[in-house]
Amino acid sequence: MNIRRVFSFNFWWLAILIANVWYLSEILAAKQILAYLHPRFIPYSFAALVGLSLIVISQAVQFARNSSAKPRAGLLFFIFPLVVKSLAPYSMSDTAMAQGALMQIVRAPVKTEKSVKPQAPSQALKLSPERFLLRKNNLKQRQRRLAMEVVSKKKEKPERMRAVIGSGGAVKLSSEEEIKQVRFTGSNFLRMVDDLYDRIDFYEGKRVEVTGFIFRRSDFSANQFVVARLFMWCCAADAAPVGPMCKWDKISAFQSGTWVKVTGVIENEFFDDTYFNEKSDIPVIRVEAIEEIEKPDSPYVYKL
Amino acid sequence: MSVWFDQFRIIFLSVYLEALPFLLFGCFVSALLHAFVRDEFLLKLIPKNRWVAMTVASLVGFVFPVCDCGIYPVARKLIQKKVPLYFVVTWMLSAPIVNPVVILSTWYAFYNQPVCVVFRIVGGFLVAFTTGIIFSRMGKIPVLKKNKEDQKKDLSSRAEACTCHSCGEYDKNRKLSGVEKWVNVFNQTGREFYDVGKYFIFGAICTAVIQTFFPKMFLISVGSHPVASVLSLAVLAFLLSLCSEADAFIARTFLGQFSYGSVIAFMLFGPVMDLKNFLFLSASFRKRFVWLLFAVTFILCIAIGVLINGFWIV
Repeated sequence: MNIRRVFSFNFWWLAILIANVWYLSEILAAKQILAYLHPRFIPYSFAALVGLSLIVISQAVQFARNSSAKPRAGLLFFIFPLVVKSLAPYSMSDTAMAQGALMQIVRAPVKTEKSVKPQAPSQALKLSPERFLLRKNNLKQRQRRLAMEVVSKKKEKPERMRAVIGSGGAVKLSSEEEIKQVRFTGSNFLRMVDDLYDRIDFYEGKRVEVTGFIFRRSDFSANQFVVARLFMWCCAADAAPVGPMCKWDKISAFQSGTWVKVTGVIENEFFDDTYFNEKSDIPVIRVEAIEEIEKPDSPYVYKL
Repeated sequence: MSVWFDQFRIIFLSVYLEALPFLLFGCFVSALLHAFVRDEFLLKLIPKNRWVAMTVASLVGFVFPVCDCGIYPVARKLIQKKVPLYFVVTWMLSAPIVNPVVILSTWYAFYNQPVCVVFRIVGGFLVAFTTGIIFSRMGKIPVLKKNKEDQKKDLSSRAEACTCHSCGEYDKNRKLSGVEKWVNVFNQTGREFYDVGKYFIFGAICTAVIQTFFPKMFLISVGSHPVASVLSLAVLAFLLSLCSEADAFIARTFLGQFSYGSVIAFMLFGPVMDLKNFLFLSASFRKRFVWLLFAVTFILCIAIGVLINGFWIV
C-alpha cells in the first residue's frame, strides 16, 4: 500500500467529516449549541448530525474501495469551522455580540400580547393554582435546561410575579405592597419588557429589579443606559439587545457589558429616539441601587 | 481585538451551524434526484404552457418550504436534469419569500402593518415571475460550468455536455442492490456537499467579517431619501446575508428611520440574492448567468421599492 493511496483526497475528506461529526455531537451533547442557535433549531442540528454520519459511512466504503485522487485545497474550508472553534475557549455569556449588534433597541421587537399566540398576560389570569404550579415547574425546568438565571428569593415571589404578569387591568390586587417589587429574570424578561411598555401607567411608581448587562448606545446622554439581554430570533447573527431604559448619574463608572442587578422605580419619561425617529413616552427606571453580579449562563432571551 | 474575534467567531459559527442542516438536506434531495429520477419524468411533471409553468414554479414554495441555502444544490441538479431554465429560476427566486414559514415570521414582525406583509409576498412573486419571463425569452443558453472530467469527456467526442459526475447514474443504479444503492446516494450527497459546502463556508466567512467590521449605523444617515434609502438597504441586505426567516425582524427596526419602499426592498433582495448565495452560484454557474441574474433581480427590487415610495403615501 503506497503513501499516495493512503493520504488521498478521500482520506482527508473522511477525516474532516469525522471531525465535523465529532464537533457537532460535542456541542449538541453539552448544549453549547445554544450559544449560536435558537432552541427550536436543535432538532434540525440532530438531523444534520445523522446526515453527516451517513455520509461518513458511505465515504468510508468509498475510501476502502478506491482512493487515488489527490487532496484538494477546497478541503481547507471544511477545517475552518473547527479551527475557529478551537481558537477561543467556549463561553456563552459573552456580550460581545451587543457591541456591533445591528439594531440597538430599547424596546422588545415582538409584542407577545398582540401577536399570533396571546399566551402570557391574559392566560396567566385563568390558571388554577395547580396549573400555576405546573407552569412554575416548567419555568424552572426551562431555566435549568437553558441554563438561564435561577432566582433564589423568598417563596412569595411567584405570587407577586403572577399578580403582575397576570393583571390585564381586570385583576384586583389584594394590596399595593404585594407588587411593590417586580423582578425581571431570564425567563420572563421579554414578556416583562413588553408589558412595561404596554402599560406604563400601571407600572409607574412601582419598584423593579432587573438583571442584565449594561448597554449604551452612542446617542445616549451620560446618565442613560439599558439593562439588556440579547434577543435572538434565529441565530446569534441576528441577536439584538433588548431591555428597559435606566437613569443614573454615575453609570459611567461601570463598563459596558458588565452584568448588573439594578433596582429602581419606574417613571414615565419623554424620550426622543434620534436613531429611529420615534418621539414617545417610555418607561424609565430611576436607579436606586446597582450591583455587579456574576455572568449568567446565557445572555439570550427568546420568544418561545 | 479579542472582542472582534469573539464576534466573528459567534457569527460565523452560528451561520454555519444554522445553515448546515438545510444545506445537507438540499444535497440529499439533489442526490435522490440524481439516482432515482429520470430526466423525462421531471419534464413530464412541468406544465407545457410557459405561463402556467411559471405560476406553478412560483407557488412551489408553499408545498415545499425551503430557505435559500437548501435551494441551490437542488436548482443546480434540476438544470442538469434539463428542466427549463425559466422554471428553475422562478422557483429559486420565489421559494425563499413565498413560503408559509417566511410569511408567518414577516407577519409576526409587522403585526401592526399587514400592508408590509402583502407588499413582500406580492413583490417576491413579481420579482420571481418577471425574472422568469426574461430568462424564458433568452431561449437555451448554457448556464452551468463544465468541470474538468466533462471537458475530457467532451474531447472524447461526447455529443452532449453533461456536468454530472457519472452519466447514466439512473440506469446504473437500477441494477444495484438496496444497500449499494443507498451507499451510492450518500456518496453523491457527500460529493455535492463538498462542491457546494466550500463556497458556502467561504460565504459565511465573508458575512461574518462584514457583520463584525461594518459600521451599521453609518447607513442610517441616508435616512428617508426615496431612492438612496432603497439602494442602501438593498446593498445592506446583500452584504448581511441574513436568513429570510429572520430578516423581517431586522427590517422592522428600520421602519422609523427609513422609507417604506426601502424596507420592502431589503426584504425582497436579501432572500433573492445575497453575498453568500452569490458566491454559491458563481461556484457552479457561469459568470454571465450569475451577473445577469444579479442585475435583473437588483433592478427589479429597487424598482419595486422606489415605486412604493412614489405612489404609496403612509
